[in-house]
Amino acid sequence: MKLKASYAPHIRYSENAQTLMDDTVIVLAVLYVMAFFYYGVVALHAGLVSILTCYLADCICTKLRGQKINFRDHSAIVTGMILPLLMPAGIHMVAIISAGLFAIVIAKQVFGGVGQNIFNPAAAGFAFTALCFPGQMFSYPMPFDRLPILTETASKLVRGPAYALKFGSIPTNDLVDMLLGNFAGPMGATNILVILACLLFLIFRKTVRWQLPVSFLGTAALYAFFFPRISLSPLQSVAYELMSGMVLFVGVFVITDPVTSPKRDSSKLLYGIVAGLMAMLFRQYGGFEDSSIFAVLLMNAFAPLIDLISEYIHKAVRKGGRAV
Amino acid sequence: MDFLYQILVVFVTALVAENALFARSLGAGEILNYRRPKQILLFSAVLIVVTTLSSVLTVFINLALAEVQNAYLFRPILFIICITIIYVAAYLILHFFFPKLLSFVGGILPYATYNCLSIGTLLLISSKRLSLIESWSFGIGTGMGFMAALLLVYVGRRKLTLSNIPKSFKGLPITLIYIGLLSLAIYGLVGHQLPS
Amino acid sequence: MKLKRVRRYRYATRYIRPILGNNVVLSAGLALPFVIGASTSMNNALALTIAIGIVNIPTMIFASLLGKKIPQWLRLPCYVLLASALVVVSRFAVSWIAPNIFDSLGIYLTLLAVNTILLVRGKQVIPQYNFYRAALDGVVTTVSFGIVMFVVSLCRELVGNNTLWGDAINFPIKLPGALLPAFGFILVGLLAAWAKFFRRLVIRYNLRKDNPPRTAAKLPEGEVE
Repeated sequence: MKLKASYAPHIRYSENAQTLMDDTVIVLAVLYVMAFFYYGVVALHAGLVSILTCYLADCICTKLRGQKINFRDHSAIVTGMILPLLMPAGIHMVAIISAGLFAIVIAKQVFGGVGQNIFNPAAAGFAFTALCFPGQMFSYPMPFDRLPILTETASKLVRGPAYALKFGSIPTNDLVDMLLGNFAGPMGATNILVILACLLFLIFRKTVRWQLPVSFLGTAALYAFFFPRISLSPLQSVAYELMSGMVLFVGVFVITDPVTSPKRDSSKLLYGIVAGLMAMLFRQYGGFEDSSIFAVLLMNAFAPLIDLISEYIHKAVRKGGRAV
Repeated sequence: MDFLYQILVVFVTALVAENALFARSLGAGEILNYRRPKQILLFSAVLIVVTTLSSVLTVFINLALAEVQNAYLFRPILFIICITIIYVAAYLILHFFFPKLLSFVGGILPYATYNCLSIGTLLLISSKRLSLIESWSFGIGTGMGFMAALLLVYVGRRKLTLSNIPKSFKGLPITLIYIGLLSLAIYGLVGHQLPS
Repeated sequence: MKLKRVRRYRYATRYIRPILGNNVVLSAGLALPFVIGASTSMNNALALTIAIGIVNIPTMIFASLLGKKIPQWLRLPCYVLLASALVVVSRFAVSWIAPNIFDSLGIYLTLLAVNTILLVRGKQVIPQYNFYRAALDGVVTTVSFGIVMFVVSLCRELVGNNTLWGDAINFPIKLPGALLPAFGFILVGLLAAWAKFFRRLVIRYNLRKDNPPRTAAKLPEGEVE
C-alpha cells in the first residue's frame, strides 16, 4: 500500500491557496528579471528589502496576536513583490519600507489576517506612500541608467507617458519601445509584452478568473477608444492609454486578488467594468496622472456590496425559475 | 446646457470630491450609530430634506447679511435659528398631521437636524458663495454623499463582523481605520487637499 | 468570582473615568470630526479645547437646571441655541492664540455649536444630574477631549509640517500627507485601539488580583474543579 505523507486537508485537487500564491510569485519573479535588465541591481535590492519587510512584519504581527506562524502562507511575499514594481526604480528605501509596513500591519493584520482583509494590501501600501511622498512616486528614471544602491544620486528623473497624456500632448515614445519596456515608468509596469504573457499564464493555470482582468482592461480600452484624449487614431489612443502608467499591471496583479474581489463570476464582471470606468475617468479629471490603483482600492470597499446584491439577485432568479 | 453642466459639477463635487465624511470628516459621529439599513435610509432621508431646505434658506440669509458689518459673528446664530425653525416646523407638521410617521422618525429627527453635516453644509455654501440653484444641488449632493458613506460603512462593518479582528480593534477602532482607508482612496482619486 | 476589587475601582474612578478609562472621544466616539479634521496644528488644538470648554460647561449647567421640565423634543434646540451664542463668545476668547487661527480652523469653530459631546451627553445624561455634577462632567469631558486633541495634533504637526506651535523645528521625517483627514482617521483609530487595550489591561489586572487563573496544580486541597 502506498502511503503518502502530506498535510491535512487531504484533498486531491491540485490547486490550493499555496499554489495560487506560488504561481503569482513565479510570474512576478520574471518581472523582476526584466526590471533587473533595465535598471540594474537596484530593482533586486528594492524587491529584497520589500519582501523581507513584509514577511517579517507578517510573522511578528501573527505572533503578537498569539497565533502560530503558518510557514506555508506566501501571501505576504506576494505583497512584498508587488509593491516595488509599482514604484520608480531607485526610490528611497524609506518609501518601500513604510509602504510594506502599512500594507501588512494596517491593511491586512488589523483587519483579521490572511483571507479576511477588505482592502488589497499592496494597493493600500502604495496609496499610503503616494500620500506621504507625492513628489517621488511619479518621477521615473530612464531605463538603462545604472543607479547605485545605497547612496543618493542626482539622476535624471522624467515623468512617464501618463503625465503627457494628462495634459493633452502625445507621448514621444515609439510603440515598439513601449511594448518592450524601454521607457520611463514604474519598475515592473513597463514591460508590456511580459505582463501580457504573465496574464495568459495565470489564466491558463486558473490562478485568476478571466472575468476580472479582461473586464477591467476591456472597459479601459473601450473608454480610450470612444473618448480619446489625444488626436491620433482611436487604436493608437487605446495603445498609449493602456501602456502608460500602471493600468496593465494593476489589471493583472492588483485587481485579481482572490480575497478582495467579489465571489461570483458575474459580479466579477461588474466589478471589473466599474473599476475600469473609474480608473479612466479619474485619470482624466482627477489629481494624479494615473489613478487606477486608487480606483481598485475604492472598489475593494464596494466588493461586499456587490456580493450582497448579487446574492439577492441570484436567489430571486432561482426562486423565480422554480416557481415557473 | 452650460447651466445644467454647472449644477452637475457642483453635485458631483459634493458627492465625491468633497464628500462630507471622507474629505472633511464631518459626519464621523453619526456614522457610528446607525447599524441597520432601515435606520440608515431613514436618517439619510431626513438629512437630505433638511440640508436641501436649509441650503435654500441660507442663500436668502446671506443676501440679507451682505451689507452688515461683522457678519461672521451673526452667521452661526442665524443659521442655527434657521435650522431650528425647520425642525420645529417639521415636528409640528408631523405631530398634527402624521402621528404614525412621527413615531418612526421622532427619535432620529433631532439628531438628523442638529449635526455637523447640516450646519457644515450651510457654512460651506456661504463660504463658497454659491447661487440659489447651485446651493440646492450642493445640499442634495452632500446628503446623498453621506448616504453613500453610511451604506459603505454598513456593508464594510457587516463583513468585518465575520473576521478575526484583534480584540483591541473591535468596534470603533476598526471602523475608523476602514473609513480612513476609504478616505485615502478618495484622496488618491481626487488628488488635492481641500481648504476647510 | 470575586468582583469586589473591580467594583471598588469603578466606584473610585466614576468621576474621572471619561478622561482615560472611558475616553469621550476614543471609546464613546463623540466629537470625532474635530479630532480628525481640525487637529493639524497645536494652535488649533488649544483653540478648540478652550472653545469647547466655553461652549460645553455653561450649556451643561443650563441643561441640568432645566432638567426634565421641557418636553423631550425641545431639549436639543434649546441647548444648541445657547451653544451657538457661546460660540460667538469663544471666537473672541480664542483670537489671541495666533494671527491666522480662524483661517486654519475654518468651519470647525462654528461647528462646535452642534458637537456630539453636548448633544449625546446633554440629552441622555445631564438632565438627571444636579448643578455640581453637571459642571464637573463638562470640565471632565473638556479635559478628555483636550488630551486626545493634543496628542493627535502633536503627532500630525511634527510629522506633517515639522513645526511645533508654529515654529519650525528639525525633525527627520517629513510627510506632508499627515495633514490629510485620511491619516487622521487611521491615527485616531490606532489611538482608540490603544485606549481599548489599556482599559482591558487595567480591568483585567484588577480582576486577576483576586481571581487568579485556576489550573489543576493550583487547586487547594480537597477542592474539585
